Amino acid sequence: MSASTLAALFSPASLAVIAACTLYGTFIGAMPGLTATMAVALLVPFTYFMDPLIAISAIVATTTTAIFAGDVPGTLMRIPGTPASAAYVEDAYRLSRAGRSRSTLMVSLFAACIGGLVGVALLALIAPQLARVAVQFSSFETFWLACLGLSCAVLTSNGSVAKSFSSLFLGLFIATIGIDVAVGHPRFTFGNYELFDGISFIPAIIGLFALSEILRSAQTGHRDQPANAAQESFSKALHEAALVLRRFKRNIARSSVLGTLIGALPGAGADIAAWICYAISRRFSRHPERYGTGYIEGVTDGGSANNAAIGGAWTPALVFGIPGDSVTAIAIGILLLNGMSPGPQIFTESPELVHTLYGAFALSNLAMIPAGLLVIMASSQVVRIPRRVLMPCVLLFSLVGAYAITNSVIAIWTVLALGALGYAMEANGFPLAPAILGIVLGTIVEENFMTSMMKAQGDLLAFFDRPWAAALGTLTLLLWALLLTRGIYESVQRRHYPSPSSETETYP
Amino acid sequence: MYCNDRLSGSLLVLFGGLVLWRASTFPSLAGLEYGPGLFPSIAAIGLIVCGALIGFGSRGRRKAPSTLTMPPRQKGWRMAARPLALLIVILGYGLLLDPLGFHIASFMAVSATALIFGMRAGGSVLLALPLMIGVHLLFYSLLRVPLPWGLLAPMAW
Repeated sequence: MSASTLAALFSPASLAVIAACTLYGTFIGAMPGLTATMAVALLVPFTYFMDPLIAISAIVATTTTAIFAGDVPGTLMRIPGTPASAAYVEDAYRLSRAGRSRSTLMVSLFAACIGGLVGVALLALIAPQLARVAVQFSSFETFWLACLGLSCAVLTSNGSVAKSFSSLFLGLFIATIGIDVAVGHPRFTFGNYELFDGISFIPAIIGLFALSEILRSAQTGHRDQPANAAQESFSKALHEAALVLRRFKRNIARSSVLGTLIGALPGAGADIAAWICYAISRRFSRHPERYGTGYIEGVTDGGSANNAAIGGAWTPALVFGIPGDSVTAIAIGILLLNGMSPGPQIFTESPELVHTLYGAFALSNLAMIPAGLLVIMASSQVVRIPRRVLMPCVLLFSLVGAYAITNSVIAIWTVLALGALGYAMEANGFPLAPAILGIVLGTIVEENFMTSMMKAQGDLLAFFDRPWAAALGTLTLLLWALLLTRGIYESVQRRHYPSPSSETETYP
Repeated sequence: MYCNDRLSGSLLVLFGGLVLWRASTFPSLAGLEYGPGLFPSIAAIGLIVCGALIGFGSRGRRKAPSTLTMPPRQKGWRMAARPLALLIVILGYGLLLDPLGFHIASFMAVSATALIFGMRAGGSVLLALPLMIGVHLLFYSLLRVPLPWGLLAPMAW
């Protein structure tokens, strides 16, 4: 890193922007329903007035902290602040209800910091090699990759296989609403022009995760205080977090590296990295049965993987101008506005930009520690706010946040419909996470399937023609076979050993 | 909002059937046997199969562990009515947002929600007013989200 880059990075303006964006990212990430992508999107108007190098630092600092801060409402209220926190929200929430919210959040903070630093180190080390592979991906490989992501959604959920799949198919159905990609035929819009663009993702996630939670909270009554109001002391939490980090250092190392690699694949961002690393962690854990019941191991994996993926996502963005996720897509737009076109030439034409990016990543991951500790200390205040005060606030923020995405009432209807659906699904033991992944990945799967089919003129075997496509496709099919076996095993086992509580409600 | 598995399974089968019927009316791609209807049909068939398994498969089933640590749902019509009342509040918010404007609609929605969650009338007004102003400052003034003014349009700035 040259002296001029260091001087630019440590200039008062740059440091002030990184500090401000760290706090901003923490706030937006910690607000249920406001995502990291939204934080960056809302930042875009401000970056017009900034030097491109500082604008990049601002984006990096905002995403880094927003992805971590998404764990805060997830842990305290079971509302993931960003989709990237959804993979392990169940474990984190149950730990918090057992009075361990601070140590859980500290584990996720330090795991996020380590993941982020590993992510940027790998980005700097192997960016060109990795991107060379990723850029060879055509619609065939992307199709398999998205299918793999969908399968992971079912693999990671805790409910029965049939209910997880139902949730996934509901999500896939929601993804098909709107103009279709192949011939432009409107599907399930019933003549409503505002539905032609499809269901917007952010109102959908606000409905499924935030509103359903508010509805359930309304039914549990206002008199019972949340059981997780008790929190550990700061020093005890820090001590406990240190023990957990030492115990699961291998998990953090594995998920940081894996998260970076997944993040580097186009279309797969922090949320998919967290899902896949959580699934892998469960697979290799000594206690896979404890996942989803309030077990910290999955939190270390998911927490480090999603922050590592942020760095990874910049790899194809920087080297080939292909966004790794929605955030880098926005960032590429800002670079283009400033007259810089990302691509292989950026390493030779403006190396200072690449170096500033690395530096900004390292700095914001370190700045995240004090900001994160601050928010963890203040989080107890969030828990002590009575629900009758908190829930109207969350409701208004959710509704206005959804409205801000589309600037139209259609966002309110999306929140309403999916909130009611999510509430009904949860009341009957259907997991929500596969639905949200179905919504995100459904579009990607369909677009790439249709593109591939048009290229191959309907020849399905073309999906195995290219070496990477064949490898990814075989992996996906193996996973599907595994899921099918599990489903059959589940139903056979039920027939032999009917559960005594089978006719009772799924809730106490 | 409890339904048993037989009911939810039947609803899924019914819904899948409707989607499948609707998707069969979509045009197909030139030269291929499928088109816009393919993915909705896959989702619909998936829903029908899963719905049949849930509703009419073997009756023994695993307890869903997803929300076991949640505080127990309270029984009785009053408790069941509260989520319904909230849904009506949001419906009203969507309907009134444009005609009344963001400020009046938000004030009403927040007060109503606070009342539903058991706050007294005075407290709900004390909560709704600063919250509405705060959200206005954050989203309208700072983030430039064009929130509708509705009835208050003459005093818009």
